[in-house]
Amino acid sequence: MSPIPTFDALGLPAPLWLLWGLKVFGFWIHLFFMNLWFAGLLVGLVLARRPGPLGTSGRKLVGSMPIFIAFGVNAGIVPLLFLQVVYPQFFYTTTILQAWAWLAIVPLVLIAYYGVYVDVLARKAERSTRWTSGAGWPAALVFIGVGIVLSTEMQLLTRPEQWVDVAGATTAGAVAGTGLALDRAAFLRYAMTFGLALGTVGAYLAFERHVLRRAPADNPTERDPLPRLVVALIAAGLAVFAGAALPYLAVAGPYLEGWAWLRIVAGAGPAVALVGGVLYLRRPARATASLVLGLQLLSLLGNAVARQVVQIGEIGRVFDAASVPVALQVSPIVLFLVTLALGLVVVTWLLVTFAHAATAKPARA
Amino acid sequence: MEYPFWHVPGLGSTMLIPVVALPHVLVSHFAVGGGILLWLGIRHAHRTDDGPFLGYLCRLTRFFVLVTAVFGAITGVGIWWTIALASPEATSTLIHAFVFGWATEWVAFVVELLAAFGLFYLWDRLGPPARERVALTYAVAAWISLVLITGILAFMVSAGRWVESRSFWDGFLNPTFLPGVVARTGGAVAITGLWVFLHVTLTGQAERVRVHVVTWAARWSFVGVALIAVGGAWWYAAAPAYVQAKLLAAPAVLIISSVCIGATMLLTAAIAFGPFWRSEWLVPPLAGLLFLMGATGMVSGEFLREAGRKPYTIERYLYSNGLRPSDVEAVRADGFLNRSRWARVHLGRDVPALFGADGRATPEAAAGLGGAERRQVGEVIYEHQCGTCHTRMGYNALLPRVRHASPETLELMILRMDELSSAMPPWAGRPWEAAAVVEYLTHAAHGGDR
Repeated sequence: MSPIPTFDALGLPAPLWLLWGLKVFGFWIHLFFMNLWFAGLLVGLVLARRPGPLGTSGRKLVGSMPIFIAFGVNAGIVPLLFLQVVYPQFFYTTTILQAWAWLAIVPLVLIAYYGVYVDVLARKAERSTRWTSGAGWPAALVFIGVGIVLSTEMQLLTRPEQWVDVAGATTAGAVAGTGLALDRAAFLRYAMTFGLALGTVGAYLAFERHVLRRAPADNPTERDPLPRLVVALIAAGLAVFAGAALPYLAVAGPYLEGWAWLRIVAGAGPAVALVGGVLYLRRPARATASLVLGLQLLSLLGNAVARQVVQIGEIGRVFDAASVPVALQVSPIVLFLVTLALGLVVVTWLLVTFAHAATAKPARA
Repeated sequence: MEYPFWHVPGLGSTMLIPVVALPHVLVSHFAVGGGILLWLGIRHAHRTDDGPFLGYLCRLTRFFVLVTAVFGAITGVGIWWTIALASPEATSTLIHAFVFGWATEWVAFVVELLAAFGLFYLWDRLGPPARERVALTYAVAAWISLVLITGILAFMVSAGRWVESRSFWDGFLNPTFLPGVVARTGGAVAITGLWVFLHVTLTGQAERVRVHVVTWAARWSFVGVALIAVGGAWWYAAAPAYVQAKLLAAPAVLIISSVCIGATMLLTAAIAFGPFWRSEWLVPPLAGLLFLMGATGMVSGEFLREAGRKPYTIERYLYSNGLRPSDVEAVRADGFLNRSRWARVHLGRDVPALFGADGRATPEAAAGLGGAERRQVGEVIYEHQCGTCHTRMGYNALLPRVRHASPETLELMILRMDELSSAMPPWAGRPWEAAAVVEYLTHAAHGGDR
């Protein structure tokens, strides 16, 4: 008997294109924020120790980390939600097989998140001690470490042929949940994400400096080191990404046949972002900083779409999601879309309010 | 029946759910109540130009954000992950029935988070009108989250017409939804007020601020506890009969819950309105005791809700062990091992002789097995049908309960367990499979390892 459970009896609540679209959209937002803590916390902590403009950028990056983590975790819910809608039998089975590693993510992220807060609040209050300023480092390592569990999970759910072996040692027909399917493909996916993350951090540093902070150069007579760092980060990211993506193509390539444009956008995206970085290096300004972030976001979008196409293809070997009946939930979809529209209005209003407040003088408590 | 079963020694996988869920329930109610009380407090402080009170609220806001945005958000994800590991069929149902409810709640949470961060980082820079509006946005978004989650939680207790119609709205607007919203809103306000007692007594506030904050928090706590009482009674009246019967059969938890809520109501009323109360009497140990009592009331209420809905995870749709009532007759006819996917995966590997050439498990093949292999078959069935709620020797252990039962009695108990206890689902399998479970349990209860 196949180890793949049958699909949920309730069927799909919406057409596949909508579910996949929302999943990719959520993953794209998640990818951006997650990139900023995945590689950004480490980069920020290193930079924060330095004097001058690089130190300022590093401290700003670390200082924004609680917000990135909050919205990154929050946005991560979206792709996981829609993954469970379309592929519940794959997701639940593989998380159970790797239950302890999967569940460990929760306390680890919680501890790391508080570690970041300890570091950030101590810096803000200028009360950093060896312990408080050290709290960010283990947090950075945790964030880098838990990524491999997520990559492993996303890889294993497309590989039902491995499930029985991963179930491994069992207790009377029950799963001990101690498996972890670390394989080459999972490491390659992980490395590709880390490469993208380095690029995102570089692009964000440029954007933060010139658009969010609008900071002039500390000393106009000296050459600003930030643009060189930005290009170095994007270039390093491209190298890591390409080094992992080329062997990964042997796994994912067949599923991207017929998606030539996507291969170009996803594969060449980080290289195009590097071109943007070089333009920024030649002329560090708001326009070029925005350009480099825009290109990086495009690269992330291309990769988010490519990941979805590969996932559909890999799972499509054993399960055709299009064969699941759709029990369309019209009014709940309308409720969601209306709430989303209202939510976007409120979010915009809040951001405008905060932007005005950020430039105002502090009032009394 | 479709998924692998995760064995957590001594505790059981389902008992991991309260380990994650109970702290989250407290903190998430905190987030909602904090939103409401902060908005009310900020508004009051602005109207009365009470700077010290506003200063205290600023400090409280920072605490709320650090607890709710971090601990609340991460443990919220933690609950979801834990229920998916322990009860994948139920989680899948909740996702497929209410995915756009969850998505709507996500929008509310994004707004809540953004507003909370605004208050946290920009408190000093937001002018009074903007601060009030941002606080109101936080309060409304957090409360909408509570309403949406309550609808889905209440659905599990009282699925209403959804079982027949499969309509989102029939499931969401179920009989215990509105009373649940009233009780949870009250719980949110009450637990926040009780926390404020503790916070204000521990943070060394000036006497005037302390007196003012304590009286203010006590009034709202009293309102909250009163809402819990009203919502709780309404919830009981609206709950399905099988839930009501189950609650009356669990007097200890019911008494603990009622005593905690009643005592909290009396004490908060005394602090808020009592002519003989003196604010300096509220010292940290008393404030801590009050908070503990309120928290115990809430936690025991959650236990009552969970215990009340057994044998179902989702009323009339799904049993605690992942079996659907609609599948029971077919499983009884066909045999559990011919239906349970992962039990077959394990036994196909470990006891291949159980399965004939057509891949089916038969009583004849089982009779030909050795004693140890038959007990292994029984253990696998036990784990998949009973292991969700019963461990062998740990929490809610089964082996000590069956130690003195004869095999004949035990077999009868298994075959008719739903008739012997209203909290038990019906046996789903063929008689020879029940006999294998008996053989395993009898052997294990007397110290045998298989």
